[in-house]
Amino acid sequence: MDAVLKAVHFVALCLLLGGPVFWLSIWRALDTPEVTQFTPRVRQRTRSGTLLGALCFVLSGYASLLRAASHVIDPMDLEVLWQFLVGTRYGHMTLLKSLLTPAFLMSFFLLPVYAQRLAHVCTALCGLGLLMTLSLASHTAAKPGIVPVVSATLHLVGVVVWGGRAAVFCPPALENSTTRDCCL
Amino acid sequence: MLQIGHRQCLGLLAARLLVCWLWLLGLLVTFPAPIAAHTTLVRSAPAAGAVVTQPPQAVRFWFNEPIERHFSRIEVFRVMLDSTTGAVKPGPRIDQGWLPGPRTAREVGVRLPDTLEPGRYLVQWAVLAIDAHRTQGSFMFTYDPSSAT
Repeated sequence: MDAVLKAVHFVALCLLLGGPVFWLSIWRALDTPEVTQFTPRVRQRTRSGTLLGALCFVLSGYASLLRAASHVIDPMDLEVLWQFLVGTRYGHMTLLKSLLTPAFLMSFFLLPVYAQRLAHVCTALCGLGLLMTLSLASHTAAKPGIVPVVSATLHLVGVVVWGGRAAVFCPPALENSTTRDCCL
Repeated sequence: MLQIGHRQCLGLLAARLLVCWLWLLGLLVTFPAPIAAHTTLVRSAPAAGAVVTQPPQAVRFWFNEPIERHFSRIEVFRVMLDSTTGAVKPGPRIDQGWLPGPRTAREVGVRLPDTLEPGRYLVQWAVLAIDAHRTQGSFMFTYDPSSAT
C-alpha cells in the first residue's frame, strides 16, 4: 500500500510539474506554423494534466500521512493526528505541499494574465519548492549537509520533468499513431 | 516505405518512452526494497545481550538517521519467569521517560531508576524516522553485580 501511494504521489507530481515545464520551455519555444495548429490541444492537455496532478498530489500526500500516522497513533484521534501533522518533519512537508500546490497553480494559470515574467519566476520557485518537500521528507534529508538534498532535488527535477513531458506529449500522439509503419 | 509525418514519428517515440517509463515505475512499485533504506539501530548502551556489573542510569540508542522522539517509544521492562511454563515474559515497566534532547535526534535514551535491582531487563523500542517510516525491535540485557568478581 505504501509503495502504491508513493507511486501515485510521484506520478501526480510528474503531471503537476512536467506539463507546465513542457508548455513553458518546449512548446511555446516551438511556436512555428507547423505546430501552432496543435497548440489548443496541447494547452488543454497541459491544463487538465496539471489540475489532475495537483489534486492527486495533495490527496495522495495526505493519504500517505494518514498511512504513516496509523503506524504510531490512532488516526481517528484528531487531536493526536493534528500533533502528528504539526509536530513531525513529514507533517510539515505535507502541509507545505498543500500550501505550495495552489500557489503553483495560481502562478501558472492566473499570474501570466498580469505579469508574465513574474509568473515564470513564481512558477519555477513554487515548482522547486514542491520538489524540495519530497527531498526534505526522505532519507536524503537525514544525511548531513545540503549536498544530498540538492542532489536529490536535481535528480527529481530530471525525472519529474521527463515523466511529465512524456505524459503531456504522449496522448495526442497516441491518437495519431494508428499505423505501425513508421520511420522509427 | 509509407511516408508519414514527422509529428507522428515523434508521437510514436513519445509513446514508447512513456511505456518504458511506466514499466520502470511498475518495477519500482513491485520491488521497492532497493530504494527503501530504512532507519537502523547502530548501537545501544547497554548493548543487546550485555551483562553489566554497574547499574546503568539510562538506556541509550544511536540510530543511523534522526528519529521523531515524540512519536517514538522506548520501554524497559524487568523480565519475569513464568512459574508454570518457565518462559520469559515482561514484568513491570521501569523506565522513567526520555532523556532530554531535541525533537529529532540520532541519539536518544530513557532514564532508569537510581536503584536498579539485579536481574534481566527487556528493552522494546519502536521509532519513527523523519521520513515517517517506523522501525522496531527489542533486546535484553542483564544487570549482575556478582559477575564482576
